[in-house]
Amino acid sequence: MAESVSNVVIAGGGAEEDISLLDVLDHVLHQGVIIRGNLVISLAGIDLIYVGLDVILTSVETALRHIARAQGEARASAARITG
Amino acid sequence: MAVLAYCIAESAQGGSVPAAGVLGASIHLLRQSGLACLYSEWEEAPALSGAAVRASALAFHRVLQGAFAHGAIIPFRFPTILGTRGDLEAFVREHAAEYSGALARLKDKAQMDVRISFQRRAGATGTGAAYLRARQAERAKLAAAAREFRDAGSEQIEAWRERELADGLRCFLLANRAAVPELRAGFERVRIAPELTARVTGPWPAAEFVSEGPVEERA
Repeated sequence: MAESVSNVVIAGGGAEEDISLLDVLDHVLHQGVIIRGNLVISLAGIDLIYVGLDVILTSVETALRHIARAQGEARASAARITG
Repeated sequence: MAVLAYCIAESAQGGSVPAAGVLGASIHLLRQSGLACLYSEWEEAPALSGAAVRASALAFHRVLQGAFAHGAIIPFRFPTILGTRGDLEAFVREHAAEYSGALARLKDKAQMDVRISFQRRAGATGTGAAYLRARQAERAKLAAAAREFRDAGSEQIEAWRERELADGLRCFLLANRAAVPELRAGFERVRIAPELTARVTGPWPAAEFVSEGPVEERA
């Protein structure tokens, strides 16, 4: 169990479950080596996307926002063509 | 074959490869330039959506923790998926000197994180100058709290980096693995301003200390 001393919480002293899901997600999504260059990722069932040289993948949420925006733009473009 | 990279370790590092990783895939070992890289591969890049993202991130974390239990590792950020094993091999080869140096430097080290944030904020009202003064006061409180932690662990902490957050301050500190219990015990005695809250987690792989330079700001 996480130990709470006043407003200071010290987690992870014993069992693994002391570390919250948020702590874990925060670490795996925001820390670690970033491959710059043509990174291939697949998220949310969307086909592969290629992240350009200057783009850093910061989180799944960020990537999902990029995908959603790209899809929106593609739909708008298709609507203009067909309309 | 799409490849998901987990982490890099020294090739000579002991320990067995975890049985399964993200989406239950087998974990393979790529040896290159004195380094070992853990990865999984699929015929096509895996689709990670909804609950699968969370479950996959947790599976990824378990692989990292398993490898970290045997020694220093350099984790990849989740999800790093490359087109082929050859791409991963080329990446490791290209960065072999840098990562070998980092692993040697981080041998027997662990990272602890301290996140300090406001439980409640004063909420600046009025002029822009008043807002700036309130922000300055907040920064001073955060800095004072960080100093409390730093002082409490002064004998164990070997390196310290900070990153400002929208709601507070995040501190990363490097210590010997063996010193972590003592460090935690010292942190239990830390007292910070009542409007602040602090959460200490770790030990983690020392991802923030792979580079020797100052940590970059990532808002």
